[in-house]
Amino acid sequence: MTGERWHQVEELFAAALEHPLPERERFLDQFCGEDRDLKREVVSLLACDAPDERLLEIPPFLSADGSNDREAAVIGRRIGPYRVRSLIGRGGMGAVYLAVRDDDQYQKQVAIKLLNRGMDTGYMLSRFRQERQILANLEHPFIARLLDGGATEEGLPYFVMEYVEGVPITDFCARGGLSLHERLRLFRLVCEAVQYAHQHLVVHRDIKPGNILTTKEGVPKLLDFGIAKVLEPGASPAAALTRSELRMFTPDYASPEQVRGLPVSTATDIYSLGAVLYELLTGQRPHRFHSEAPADLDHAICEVEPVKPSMAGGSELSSQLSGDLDNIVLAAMRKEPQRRYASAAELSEDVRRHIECLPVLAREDRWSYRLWKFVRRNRMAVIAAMLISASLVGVTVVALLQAGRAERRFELARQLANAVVADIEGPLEQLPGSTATRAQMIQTVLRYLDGLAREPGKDPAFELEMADTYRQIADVEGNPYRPNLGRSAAALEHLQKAMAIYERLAAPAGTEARALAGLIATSVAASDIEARSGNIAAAETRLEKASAIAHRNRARLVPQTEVLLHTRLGDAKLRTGDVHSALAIYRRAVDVAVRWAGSDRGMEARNAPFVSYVRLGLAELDSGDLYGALRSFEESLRWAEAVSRQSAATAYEHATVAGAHRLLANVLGNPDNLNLGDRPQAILHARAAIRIGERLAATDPRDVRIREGLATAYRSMGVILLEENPEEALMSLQKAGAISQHLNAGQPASAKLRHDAAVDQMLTGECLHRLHRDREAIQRLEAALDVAKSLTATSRLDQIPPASLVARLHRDIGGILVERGDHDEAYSNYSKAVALSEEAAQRNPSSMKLSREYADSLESMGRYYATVAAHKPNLTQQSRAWFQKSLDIWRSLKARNVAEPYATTRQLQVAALIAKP
Amino acid sequence: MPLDVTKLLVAWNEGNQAALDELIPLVYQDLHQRARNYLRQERPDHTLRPTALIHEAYLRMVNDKVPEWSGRAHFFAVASRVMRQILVDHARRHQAGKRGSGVAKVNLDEAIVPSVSDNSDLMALDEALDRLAEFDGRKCRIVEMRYFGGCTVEETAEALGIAGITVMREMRLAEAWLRRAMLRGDSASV
Repeated sequence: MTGERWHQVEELFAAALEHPLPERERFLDQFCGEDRDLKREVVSLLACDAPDERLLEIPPFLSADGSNDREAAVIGRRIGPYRVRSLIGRGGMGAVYLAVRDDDQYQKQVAIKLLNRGMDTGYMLSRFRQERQILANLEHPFIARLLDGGATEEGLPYFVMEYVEGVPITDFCARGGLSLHERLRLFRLVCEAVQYAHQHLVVHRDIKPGNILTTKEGVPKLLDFGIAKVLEPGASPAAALTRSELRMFTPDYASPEQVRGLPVSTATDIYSLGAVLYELLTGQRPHRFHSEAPADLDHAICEVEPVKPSMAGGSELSSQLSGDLDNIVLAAMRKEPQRRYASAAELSEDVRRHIECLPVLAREDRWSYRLWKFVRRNRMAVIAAMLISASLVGVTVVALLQAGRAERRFELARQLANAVVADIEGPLEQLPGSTATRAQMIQTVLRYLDGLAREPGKDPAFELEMADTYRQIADVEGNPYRPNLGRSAAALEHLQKAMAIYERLAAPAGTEARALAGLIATSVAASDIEARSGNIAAAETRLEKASAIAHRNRARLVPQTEVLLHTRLGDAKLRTGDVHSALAIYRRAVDVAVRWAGSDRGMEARNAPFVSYVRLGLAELDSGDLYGALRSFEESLRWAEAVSRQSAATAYEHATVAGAHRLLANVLGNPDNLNLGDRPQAILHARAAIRIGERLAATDPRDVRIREGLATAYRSMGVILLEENPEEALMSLQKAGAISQHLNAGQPASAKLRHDAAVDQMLTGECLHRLHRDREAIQRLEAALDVAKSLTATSRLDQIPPASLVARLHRDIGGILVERGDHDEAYSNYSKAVALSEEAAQRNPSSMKLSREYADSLESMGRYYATVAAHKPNLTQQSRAWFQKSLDIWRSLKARNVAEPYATTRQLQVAALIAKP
Repeated sequence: MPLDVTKLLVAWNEGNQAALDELIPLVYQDLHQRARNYLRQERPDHTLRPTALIHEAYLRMVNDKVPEWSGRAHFFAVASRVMRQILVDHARRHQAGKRGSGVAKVNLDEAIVPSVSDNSDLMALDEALDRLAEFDGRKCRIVEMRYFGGCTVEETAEALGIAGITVMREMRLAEAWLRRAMLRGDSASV
């Protein structure tokens, strides 16, 4: 880099930091003009800006290993309230001692794990305190309880655990000469404990035989649950990306994601369980390492397939190991987390099926898997370097098409297409900046799909799959409910192709229920896209068509289709302002969903009541039926909690629990909504939402939607606290802002993200005003106003439409100006607020939210005149007239018996203002 | 020894670059030796912060003939650079030892080890700093002093003859640049 160029970068970097985040993009555009390279350079540096984070902690020197002396010195000492008796064992991190409580007449025995290395004890302990409650709540007969933790006088961290008298599970099996079935049964108990912990959102991260002690009665006890997480530094997303992780795992049982420093999840434990099972069955560890060098570990764990257990030899059990057990172990140990068993319960279930001689779910990896892996490897290269185009995928397909026998070709290409689409939709979706790659990969898949479509002689099942693939592609291209490429036209075109196939298959015999469901879902998807593009009429037409097809075939409808259709029909009614029809339709959706969930144990069915109740509640809220909304949100919470307790629950299901808490907080006491005025309850729910969100975000730091949800929860908390406790509210809003900022970094700001950023600015401005920091407040509010004005209306239900956002900002700014004595400017702001909210309320008279906004604007105008009247008494009348208008709105709402008890409260408040002399 | 170091410091301060070349090995040898002896005499599990070592070395190596206002800061600038070298050397040797024999055996001379089992971050930072220094030596010095020498903003500013606010500003860009370089793990730049 030339000095001049670097100097330019330096200046621009510093200048950009002076601008609030939402403006940086524009500022850089302005400054850089045609110089795209300059902009790219600065943007990428800004993305790596983290002023509160150090690049790394400089490690202290440590004197040479003298563990024997050290351990001897600990015996007899006191650690916390415990007296150390003897050494139990030692590991890489430290040693474990047997101890008794010094002040305890019962002399209860505990195990103390004392760490010996100099790590950041203060940070670690604060993390431990965060985790302690959760870990202490893990109560399971096969999990050793964590009792306490702290630091010794020298500052060495320790953990106190239930003392377990037992031996590692592998030793137990070997010494006791357990039979194959006895081993499998013991292993299933371990799975049960892991499953239990996962349901409590705790991932072990270091499952190995040494952590599974088995008592002489044959009861397994898992040690050290959650400790690995506490010991791991850096929870923030930026830190997670640096290579600073102290690798805590034991390589023999560590998963590829741990070796590579990728996020760990419950799937990580499934892998380690697989590795333990491998050893239980074969007496061998699954991998051979040449050395402990990172490159060798990486190669052995991430690249090499373990030898099948039945081929591993060395065990008297070898001869009994069937293909099923091979498949089970290897399915648990797959390199890609998403291809392993979905849960410990599922793994355990497969083991049970094997014991009872039922067919197991795990399948041998065939050539299709290797092909998939090839695609995947190339895909990783694509993302990592952004250099290799997706044409590589194409090359593979061509080669395979030429090589394979004719009847295999379809099958191959279809599987490949599905695998690639699944990747485009799945992990890639979350990667910022992957849009271009996703688009290219879609092109490739489409080329082959279109080619296949032209080939004659396909069977209906195959055609159905093709239609599904077209639909998936359209989703990626333009489904407004998920991250998409924003290509509405292409999406519609491919939906059309899918529709044509579904229609052909659904029409004649009328037996193909899946085609019918696909047809309706495709029409609904097309309607979604039209609606988001602003073509409301076209959206309605598509929806009516779907509805008509559904009606004609109502006897054959699956509940899934009914729920989907009803929610969208309800949305459409809500869009046109017909809240009452929307309510009726949503209620039907709820009925169907509840019945469906009662008869089908699948996750989609179990989630349907939550989804329907949330929509119903939001519509009730908008219609002013506050108690109705409360009931619906409570129901949604009940369902979400029930589903999240299911063994197959994923992060999504836990996120729904957080979502329900958020909605409850809002209806109970969020002053931005019509609300029930129960602020203490609201705070409890907001806190619950934050707690769950934080845990989820820590489990998978890359899931964008979880972080969005967390930001929303912090925002709600901020709003609820704003009046009573602006300091704390400000902290909460800053957390929301920081998360949004991080999400925003490195990707073009979507309307939603910009909207959220504007709301954050606005709320922060309001907080600052309450804290009498008016100059900063005005800056924030004006920045928010700029963004809000540039936003166009979006159709999301849970957002304040930009018009009311703008109106509110004008009111806020007006309020500060009045206090400053700038009456003219204040007046101009208030007038704009009144005009905007009046127009919005008239356009949509049944929306309570907008009525309320209008009443707020009128009231603020009244307050303005009341302030000015202090100097010019003749304006008192004016002030009363505005209050009166506001009062009229609350009265009319009260007369219609909606928005109670909120309307009454507000009516009384305004009446009091009028009565003031 | 104090005399040499003090003389060289003064010379370097007066603009003699060759003085620095003589200074560095002196300081390296001293810090390295001290760390080893110190830790050998201590209880086995003792840890020693690199910054503590530098502070102690300053008191020992620099006599009071050097004006406090510039000598101290300049000594810290040198010591920071040396400390970086020591840490990276140890990390490298540690790594090589592990890779070579398969079983990690630390020889007698290796009485001290940086206490992190995985030193890849340290080495990544070291490499990134080298690349940064190719076109912006000052930022490299700033990061060295702040990280490896544990210097305050004021000390860093004084040693480099710039304002504290400049240190903070440059540090922020340098950290962003380094973080990016460490994440990429390559030498890409504009």
